[in-house]
Amino acid sequence: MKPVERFFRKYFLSMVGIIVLFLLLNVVLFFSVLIWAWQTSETPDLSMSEICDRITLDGTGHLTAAGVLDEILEEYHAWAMILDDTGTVIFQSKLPEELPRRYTAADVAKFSRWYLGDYPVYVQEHPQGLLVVGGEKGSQAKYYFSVSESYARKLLVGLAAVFLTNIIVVVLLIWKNTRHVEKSVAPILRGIETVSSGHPVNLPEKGELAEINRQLNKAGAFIAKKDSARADWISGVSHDVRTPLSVILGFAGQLEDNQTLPASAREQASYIRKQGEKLRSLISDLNLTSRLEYSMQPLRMEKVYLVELARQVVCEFLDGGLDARYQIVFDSSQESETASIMGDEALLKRALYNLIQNSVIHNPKGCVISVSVARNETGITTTVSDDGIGVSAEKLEKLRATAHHLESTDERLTLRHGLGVLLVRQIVEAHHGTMEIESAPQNGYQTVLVFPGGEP
Amino acid sequence: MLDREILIVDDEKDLRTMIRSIFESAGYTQITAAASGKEALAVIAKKTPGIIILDVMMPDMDGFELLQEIRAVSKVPVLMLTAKGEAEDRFAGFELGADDYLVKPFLPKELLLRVQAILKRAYPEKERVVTLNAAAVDLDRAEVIKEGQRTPLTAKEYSVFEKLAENAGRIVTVGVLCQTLCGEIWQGYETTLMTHIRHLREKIEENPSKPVSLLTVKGLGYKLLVKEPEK
Repeated sequence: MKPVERFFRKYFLSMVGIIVLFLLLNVVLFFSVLIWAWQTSETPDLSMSEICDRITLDGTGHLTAAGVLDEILEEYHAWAMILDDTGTVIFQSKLPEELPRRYTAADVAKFSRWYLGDYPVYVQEHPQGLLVVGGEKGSQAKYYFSVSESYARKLLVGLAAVFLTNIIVVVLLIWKNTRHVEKSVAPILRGIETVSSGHPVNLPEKGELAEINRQLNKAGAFIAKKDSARADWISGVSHDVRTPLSVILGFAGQLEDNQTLPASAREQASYIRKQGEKLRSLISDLNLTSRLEYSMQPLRMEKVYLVELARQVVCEFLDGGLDARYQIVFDSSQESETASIMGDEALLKRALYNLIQNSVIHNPKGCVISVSVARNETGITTTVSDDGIGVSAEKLEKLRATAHHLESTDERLTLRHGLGVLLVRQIVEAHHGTMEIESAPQNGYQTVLVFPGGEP
Repeated sequence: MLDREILIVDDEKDLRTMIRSIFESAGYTQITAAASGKEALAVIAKKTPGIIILDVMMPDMDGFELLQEIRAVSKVPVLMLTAKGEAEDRFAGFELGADDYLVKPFLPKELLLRVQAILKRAYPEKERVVTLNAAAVDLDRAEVIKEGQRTPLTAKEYSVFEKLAENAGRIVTVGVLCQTLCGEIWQGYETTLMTHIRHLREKIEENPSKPVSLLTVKGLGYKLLVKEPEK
């Protein structure tokens, strides 16, 4: 279910990404607003130090304003004064009438923080005293805070914590939501995967997505029905062919053994019998492979000793009148002797039978066939090999790749070879085993079957 | 054995003819054929045949039903023929009491061998004597007759020999022989089996170290070569 998980991980990450993007956007917007407000507001560009510098002592010991101070103050609707150490105004320019000309230390302390008679004021030290510059009423907002160090620290930490908590809660909620969606959608995605691989599905038809599940179940059932119809059809056809073929094989065999017939006629009968036998194994392979393909063949699992099973199959060949051109060598390791797996004996026999039969069919000039069973850590290995003509690299590639009996018929020519091998592969896979084919032209053909486990 | 009556039950005329001809050319003389379940029951009612070869798929009454009816009145050996290769069919047949089961299309030789094996089992000959190269074995008395001398076989030797004789000419695997000796669990009994084989050879072979009747097939099992009894 990798793709499904990947999909939801991506979905979750993208949601988190959206949150991060959202935060970044807000920071950018916030600063944009700050800049915009600052740039578009009328902020008095009164420079305290400039004013300070322009007020100097003249030769008589009086303070005078040099040059354009009045104009500057006029422009900003501001005023300026200098208080000496006693709080007396010793210089003023445009100082409003209503303001006093003397200030106590308490007055200075007050206005330096707040306002002086509603005028926002700024103070700066001047060589002759204290420069006080006042702006237009209502032109400036002036606040003054004083908080304890620890309170400020806690406030900052607290704010950070609130921010973090928010982020965590949002991410958790997204995660939970994703999980929720995943929980209800994942079975559907798995169902689709199952259906697409041709197996029936059975999803619970409840919850918000019940309708989709119902439709999927219907689709699965429909495919299964089609598959079983196909397997039934193959089974029916093979059934109908069996009786006529029995008659053909029976009479051909008798003609072949009939000593009163001329040798040539008996030889012809022998061809009919041999081809009939090929047809016979093809039909039963086709039937079994379609039943396995559509899971219509129930496996009868029991304890199977592979060595003994292989022995019996080899003996069947040796006893069944195997031509003298062929020789079968059997070998088994001591450890494999007592090793068993859980398996369907009839099917496993069929697999081995097909492998040996393949070597016989494809090497009409004869060959030595080796059958061996060994046991190691990975399981029980059964090898069937011959020293015959082998197959070409392309053919080997095809044999390895053939995955479906319907695909194997696409190539028409390889059906006869492909089907037997396919059936072996199906049987091995039904037992959770693996199958490896090795071959080279004129250099033999080898099939290695590995079945996992192998209880001693 | 050749005078045992064989009843062939199959709705397919050509198949009946073919099976009849297999047994005729093998020397059997009493062959009857029935085209349906009803017909077969009528034949059986008159005289019980030696063996019935029964097709599973028939229009009026299928082979399983017919087998049930036959089993209700007789223990006659029955070999089922079926066009279905499925395992369930095979097991159903055995459960109902079929003696053997053959899937179509079958090879004529196979049918003949199976029928002969069933007949041999069902109607043991009065004197069950297996003739070998250097000796003969009297199965009823579990004795080896060699050069006029009678040597008894032990119970284990007897069961091994009987199994080999039943499958005379064919390889009997080590596993099957061990199973005969010890029942279900046969693994690990190879050495015991080899001991019994050695003792058997001492009794039946002229030269036990160079056996000609009880042969070892390397890696696979043993094979008993039997001389056909002269008639």
